Amino acid sequence: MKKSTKRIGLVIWLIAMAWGVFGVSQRLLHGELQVNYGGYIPWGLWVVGKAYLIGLGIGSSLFVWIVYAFDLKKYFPLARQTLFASAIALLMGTMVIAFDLGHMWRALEPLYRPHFTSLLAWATWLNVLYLLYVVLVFCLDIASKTGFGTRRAFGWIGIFLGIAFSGCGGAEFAALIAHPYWNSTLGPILSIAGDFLSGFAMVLLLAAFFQEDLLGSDSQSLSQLSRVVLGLIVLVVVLEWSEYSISAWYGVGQETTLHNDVLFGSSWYLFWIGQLLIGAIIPAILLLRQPASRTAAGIGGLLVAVAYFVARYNLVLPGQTTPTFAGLQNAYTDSRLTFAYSPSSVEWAVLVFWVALGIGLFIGGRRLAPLSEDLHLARTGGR
Amino acid sequence: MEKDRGSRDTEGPEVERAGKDRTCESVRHQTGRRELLQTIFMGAAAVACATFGLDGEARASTCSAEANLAGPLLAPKGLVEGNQLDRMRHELLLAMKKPVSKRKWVMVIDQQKCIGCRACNISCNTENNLPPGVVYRPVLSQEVGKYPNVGRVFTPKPCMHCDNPPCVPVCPVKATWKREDGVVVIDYNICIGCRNCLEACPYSARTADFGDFYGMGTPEIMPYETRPNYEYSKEWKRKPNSDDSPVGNARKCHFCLHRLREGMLPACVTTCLGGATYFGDFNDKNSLVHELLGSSRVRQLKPELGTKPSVFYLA
Repeated sequence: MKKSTKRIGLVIWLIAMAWGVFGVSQRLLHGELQVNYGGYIPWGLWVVGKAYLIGLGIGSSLFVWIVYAFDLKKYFPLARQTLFASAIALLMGTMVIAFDLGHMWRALEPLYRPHFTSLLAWATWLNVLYLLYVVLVFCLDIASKTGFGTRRAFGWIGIFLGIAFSGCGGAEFAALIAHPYWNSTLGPILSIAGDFLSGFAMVLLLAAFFQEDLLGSDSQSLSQLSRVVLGLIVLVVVLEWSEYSISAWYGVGQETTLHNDVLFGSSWYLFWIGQLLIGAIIPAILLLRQPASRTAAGIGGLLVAVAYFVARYNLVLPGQTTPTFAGLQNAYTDSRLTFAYSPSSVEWAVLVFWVALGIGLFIGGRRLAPLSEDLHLARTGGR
Repeated sequence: MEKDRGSRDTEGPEVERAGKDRTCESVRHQTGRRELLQTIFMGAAAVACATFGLDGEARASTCSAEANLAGPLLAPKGLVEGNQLDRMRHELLLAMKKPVSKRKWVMVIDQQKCIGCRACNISCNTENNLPPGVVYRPVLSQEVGKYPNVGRVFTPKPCMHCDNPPCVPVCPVKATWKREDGVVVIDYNICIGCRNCLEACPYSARTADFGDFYGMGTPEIMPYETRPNYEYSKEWKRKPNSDDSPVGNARKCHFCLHRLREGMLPACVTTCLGGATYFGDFNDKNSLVHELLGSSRVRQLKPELGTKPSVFYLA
């Protein structure tokens, strides 16, 4: 990377951190006074951020588990860096959701007084277990204590835990009967597919831009990874099509209204431009035409990984913007009891803080931690 | 403070009764005059019908006027015998003598009597000292029909205290549960403020306390905003810039459990101007609510969800 590019990146990062520190301090000093979510839209940007970051973390680690479980040696070099990025994404997602709690200092209560009928309790447990698991495998990998058999076992356990955690995240929304937009059996499946897509796209991005030394001479591996991401894009688009087209076919029912609002409402551009054009069509073209090109694969991965934030936004928010009763929005006049929401600057700042901190940790960690050490050992699977 | 409130409440109905007795006295003296006026009115109506050939609708309205004059004869037995508040309060005292598991609190709201004054909403806010962003009993107002044939339906919407509450199993820390008497409650000291229960409630009956005060942004937060409330029979103090519970918590209607404990009806029931809100023990077969739930007008909100609400409406 050019020195001038690095400098620009550093300046942007410092500005983001400064703004983020301001937001975090406001949240810590004044609680939730400066957030824009309320009684009728209780989940806002931080829930979107949590779903997105945790999804990235789960999806990218699932790549490693698959590589380990099926002994895909040529991708071993990507494993350590991917686990590192995954752990950071999981940690940042956890921190974002802790800031979303009305009592953030009670964030650990679900661990020692869990109510296991609640999917949120399961998600909290899986979140902590999964984060620890990723860190454990990463540490063992660094200590070179993962032989072939151990890796395989870690891989299968990881696949099981990762899919459970990802599905649980989708089920958290899908099981809520109060919101027809979420209350779909496809919810957990879409969540798993989406996490796979965003995570694998992040792996592609890291492989293309940050790990030139590892896959440098192996364009076939990069090409295959590009095709896997392409396949996942197609899968997610098909699932989305299924979700939207079924409700739209006869044009009646509550889901139809909600889906129409997403597709043709005031925020139509989020779906058509953010989710579909930037998150699917452009990357698909790039990955289809030049799967082995580092630039094309890197940009494709970047677009998918970033645009998936919009998909999460379109999952969390439209589900809440329709009143549960006609006229509820006029029944009581209060700025927190409305069905309109746009995140406040403090909400954005807190999210930016954790994302910027995560990026800083990753770039700093790459320099300090031996992420690309002993290439030969990695390539031979530790044997 | 509770004691003061209690004495006010016991005083209230007595004053009301004394006033009513005086009214009854004067009514007895005026009975003859009323009967005379009634006869004149009915006679005039009959002459008008015959003279101007009123259509069916107008006839119906005249007939309903007639029915109104004879209203008390057609009303349910429970509504005739004395003040309905007195009766419900008496039934409440009887219910409170029973073990918790033997009671089943229900609320009945007569939408034909509700005039949309929102007195219940205001009294609830005052009773529980609710901050901005928190509401336990909003009143929905819906226009029906098309001009010129329009009407308005009011739907006061407290927590439904469902028998199969979707908000309870979603709580990750068991901070909310359904009591044996049917009331769904929240432990403010356990709630972590994840707002999952808000999302799970199909009635939007729960809101969250974000720590707002009406006086924020003004030179002074007035003392009435910082006085404590007594929900769940505990003293809860809210202070600006503090995240002590109930700030940060999910909050909802609790059928004024703290008032029930003192033998008082929920605030929304006692302040209902139209006498449209009824409350009582459904396990008491002689109770007013039990009587009312035998009506063919009974309906529930979103019954198709299987939540089995304990709040019923008379449509």
